[in-house]
Amino acid sequence: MLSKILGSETAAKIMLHLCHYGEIYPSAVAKDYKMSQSAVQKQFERFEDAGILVSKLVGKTRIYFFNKKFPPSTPFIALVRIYYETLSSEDKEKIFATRRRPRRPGKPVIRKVST
Amino acid sequence: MTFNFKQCTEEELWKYVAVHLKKNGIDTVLVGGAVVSIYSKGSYHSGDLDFVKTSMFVTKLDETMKELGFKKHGRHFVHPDCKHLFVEFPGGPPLGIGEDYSIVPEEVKIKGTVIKILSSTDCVKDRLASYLHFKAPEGLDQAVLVAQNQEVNFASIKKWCQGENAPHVFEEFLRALKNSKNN
Repeated sequence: MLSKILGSETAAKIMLHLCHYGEIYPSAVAKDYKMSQSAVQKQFERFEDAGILVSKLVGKTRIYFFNKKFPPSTPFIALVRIYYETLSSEDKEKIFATRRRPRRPGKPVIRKVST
Repeated sequence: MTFNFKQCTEEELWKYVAVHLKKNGIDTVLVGGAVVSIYSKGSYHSGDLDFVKTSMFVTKLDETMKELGFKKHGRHFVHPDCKHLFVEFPGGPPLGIGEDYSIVPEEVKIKGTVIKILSSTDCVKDRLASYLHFKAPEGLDQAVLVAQNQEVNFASIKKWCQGENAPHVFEEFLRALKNSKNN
């Protein structure tokens, strides 16, 4: 279990989100997992202190992404990717339900209709 | 003699802080934008000093910085008289640039105390790493600035770019350096 290796479920969830989205902001992770934003924020800061993540301000939002300048990041990302790539498709649909890819304003969203 | 915090350069503050840390058993390497400031002879101002500790077992860093008058604000150490520069200890150890963690820093002796800084060649790689991995265009400009002012090992930079699967970055660096000489 990734959460056991990283010592925290929050840490594991952040890493899976980063693998999926490439970059992410703490409130998005908190919203997707229905967790407290301060706990998520603290974990992001721990990863940044450790050098694994870096961040940048975009408007008023702090966006985090992997620090590929830092040598331990590459094997660390490889480890997380094993867990990410072996998630079941059901889990992926559930966890990454929020679409964060670029989308033209006003373009309609066509949702799957369950039969 | 008191240190002039109000008007010090990146190089002066680096030497002052690094010597004090070293004398208290904390060995560091200066990395990041402040190295560009030093190697470009002041053509670039970073605004901060990034130190990487060479040991993961450092204790009493906060106390040692406090002895110099620095106060910790979040991740930064600020000095009340030094409004233009602050100090940070990001990430490491290990000291590394992208996939390369066999970095050998330059050593500078200040009155018998040895302090460390990224070499000019590694400084160029570090800036190109920002350009490549953080998509920071200023990283390329800073790499050029260092290469304009210092001797750098182009073969080593080329090899590093290849190791990052980014040989095109070396070509861009050479092109930008050539253009800067023509302007």
